[in-house]
Amino acid sequence: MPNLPESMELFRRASRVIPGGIYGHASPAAGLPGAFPYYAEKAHGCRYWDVDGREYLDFMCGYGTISLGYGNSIVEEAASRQREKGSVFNHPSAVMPELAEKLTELVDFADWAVFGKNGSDMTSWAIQVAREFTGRKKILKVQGAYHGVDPWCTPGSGGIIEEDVIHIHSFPWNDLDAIQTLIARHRGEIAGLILTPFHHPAFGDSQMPEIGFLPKVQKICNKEEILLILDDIRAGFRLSVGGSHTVFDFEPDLACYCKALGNGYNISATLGREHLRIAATKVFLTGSYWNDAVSMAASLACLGEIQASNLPAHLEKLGGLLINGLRKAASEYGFKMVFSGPPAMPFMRFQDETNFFKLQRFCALAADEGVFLHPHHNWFLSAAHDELAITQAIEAGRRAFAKLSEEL
Amino acid sequence: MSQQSSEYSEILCHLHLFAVLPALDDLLKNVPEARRILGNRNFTISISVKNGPKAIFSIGEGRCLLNESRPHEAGIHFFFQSSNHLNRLLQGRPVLPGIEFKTWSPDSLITFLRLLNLLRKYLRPRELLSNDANFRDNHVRLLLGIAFFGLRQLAELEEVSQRRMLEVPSGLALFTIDGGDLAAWAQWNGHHITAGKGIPDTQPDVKISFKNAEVAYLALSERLDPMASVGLQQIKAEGLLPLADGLSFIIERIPRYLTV
Repeated sequence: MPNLPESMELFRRASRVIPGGIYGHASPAAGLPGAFPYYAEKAHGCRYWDVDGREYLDFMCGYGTISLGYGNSIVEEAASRQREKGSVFNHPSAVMPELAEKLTELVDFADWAVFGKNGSDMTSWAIQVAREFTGRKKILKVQGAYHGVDPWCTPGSGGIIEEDVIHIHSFPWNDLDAIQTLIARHRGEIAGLILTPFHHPAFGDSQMPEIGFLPKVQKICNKEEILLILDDIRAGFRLSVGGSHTVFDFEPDLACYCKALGNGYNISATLGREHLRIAATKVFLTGSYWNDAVSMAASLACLGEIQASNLPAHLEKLGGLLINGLRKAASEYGFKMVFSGPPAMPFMRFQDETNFFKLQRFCALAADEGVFLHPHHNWFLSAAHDELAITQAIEAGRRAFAKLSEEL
Repeated sequence: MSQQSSEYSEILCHLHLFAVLPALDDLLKNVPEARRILGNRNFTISISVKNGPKAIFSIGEGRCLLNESRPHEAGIHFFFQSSNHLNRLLQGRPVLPGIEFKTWSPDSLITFLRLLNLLRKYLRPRELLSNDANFRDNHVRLLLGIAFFGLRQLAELEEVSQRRMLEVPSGLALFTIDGGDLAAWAQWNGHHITAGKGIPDTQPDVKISFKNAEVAYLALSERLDPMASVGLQQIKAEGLLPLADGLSFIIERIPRYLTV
């Protein structure tokens, strides 16, 4: 076990004054308690340091929020320029329509954009727009998909009552028959169908859409007058500069973005088609910090750089190198690894286990070697990762596989 | 769910019958006072609820075994008019079941009622104010058994638990207490839960261990911040965590019925 006294002391203090100590996806309970650090001190590029001074080559990137790298100079300069003028005023600033123009220019189907702070804000707002537009109540979603923390979709169970979820119905990913069955059962009652461009559950392999699945879902939705909502919060701008739907040859009616959008500045967005504009205006949307100019300025700069650097191509290339290198390193010690999902956001596990014991131990060993790999969640890369970082990660992984092999 | 609803009453009745009463076995195995009460007696108690569940307990030789009876064994039959009727007796209220003696055996009846009283004493949390480590250990042992046998009842009868389990991966979960011999397991196969005490023969898919009996007690009776405890490593969790989360969700619902 690594020596993490500062993390542990901070956590002890936190446990006295914060329920859970640390809650949500960053909770130690969701990672590797005692093996992963609990608190970060600083970060730069593709690395971060915990409060005990340990350095990590980072393959979670703030759970996907860091698309260009920690402290990216272009984003930071834009944010600083705006910060000198101010962040939150009584009114939004000019950067808001500028950002909306940029997004509608980048994302082909979109005619308008709205902004929030978190992914949850946008997915919950989007389903309300679907309900407003159609006059219907029901929402279809993929079993095991994560769309945020609001009662209709939270993975938690505390405080959830039957009425919160009574109009939410799930179907297995890639299962058109199941979708058709739900539609037949609830014909005329379904407002929206929300899904991610590929299925990325926690504790499980990522699953790409079967060929034609998403276009067929679009066709079904169009026929049944169900709004198709793309939750592109995790994958958005990592697979394609124009949004992930362009990779899979379909067009949603609404698309939600967050994570990569701001390179760590908190901002989310929903984009939609023209015919939904009036319905969108009727769904009340606001928040204390939602017009924050600094985040919007950062996002504008971030999108420009994503476009200029062709981030998706970079992530695909480096992700591919990482996958191939780790697979080879594992095989040297007799381990067979399974990688799923796109190379830009891979999920790794040992071929011969589904209960994560070995993977948890491997990731703990990798953390000790200075590489942060999550055992339960897909990984992320950023523009700041380069071939040197990948080589270092593979070497650290090799050492971790060696130690694991000795332990077993 | 309202405590007055028939669904609540039915679930509580099943918990009493199939989770609480089987705890008499642990009581007899671990508490000398229980063995003294039982002495050399052997008898069978059958319990039935009108239009409801039935169970047979074979009590003797230091054990209380559920759904087993010796052939040709005479015994005592408790019959209850409703789930509420059974619940009130098991909650210590002054009610009596209908009693039928297959063989006249008032001594066995009194023995059973004394064991039941002793079980309630060990399940009563205020008794934990004493510094008796043995008492605390036995209290936790009984709670663990009740929690695990109660799992199955809620998973089969309670709608919210059924819905939750639909999202839980199949597998075998092992719960242990460090430094002790207390262990319980639960297997979920996607449709049913089976549970037992001790270390299972096959490797578990998830292992949860409590640092000590006190942490286990606090966790099982919802008096502990579980996320913080994991972070502080008072509770260790390894393996298929969503399985543990799902089972824990149900275990944490048991105190809504059984106020131990």
